[in-house]
Amino acid sequence: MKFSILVLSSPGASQSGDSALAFARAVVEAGHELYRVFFYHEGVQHGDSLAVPAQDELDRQSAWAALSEQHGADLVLCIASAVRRGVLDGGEAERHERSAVSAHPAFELSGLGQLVDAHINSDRLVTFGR
Amino acid sequence: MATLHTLNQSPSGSTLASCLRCLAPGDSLLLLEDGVYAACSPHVSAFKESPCAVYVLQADAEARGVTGRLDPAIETTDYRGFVELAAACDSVQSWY
Repeated sequence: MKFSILVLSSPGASQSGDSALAFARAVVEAGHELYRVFFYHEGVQHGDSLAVPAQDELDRQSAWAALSEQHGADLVLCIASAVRRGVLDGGEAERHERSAVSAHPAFELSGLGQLVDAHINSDRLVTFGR
Repeated sequence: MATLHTLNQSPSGSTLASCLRCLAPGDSLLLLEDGVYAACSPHVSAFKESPCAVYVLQADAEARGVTGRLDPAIETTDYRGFVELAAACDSVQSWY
């Protein structure tokens, strides 16, 4: 079965992002396909590579990147949510004339169409809210 | 068409009441994060008339030290069970 996940909260701000990560791991461990993880609103901060987590905390970004690498899940940051929070890939940094690229390379900036696509092409879409 | 509802908010807010209004026979409800408090008395009485199966995420109940206060009528589960519930229902509705 194909699963997609919608993440709405920033890492560490609430337990929700960690629940999403635990659910994602359980999805692939059960032999299901993790099609896409869409990070929306505050959730896009999962893709900010300039943020440095405390040493005694779980590094959520690396955990998502590893999950994506091992199981092929798309990690998509909502482009409008990301740009307004300073999470920019090379293209957006150039387009908005900013000096830094902050998006982690495992995450892709794209539009809400990717969320719609995930809803259509997955058997289940599970939301992890605030 | 069965729905898995998930609730991650404490019963002190209004989210639980909204969720309860939308439960249909055959649905399942999973309590996680601060939602696990709803599985303890006196909040658990809200489910007595509920038409659906109620589950609580064991790890979140343990993290909050409430495993000894969970109502025995409510089943505990883990993330593997969460995935199974999501797969068994037709859709998942998150309340947050």
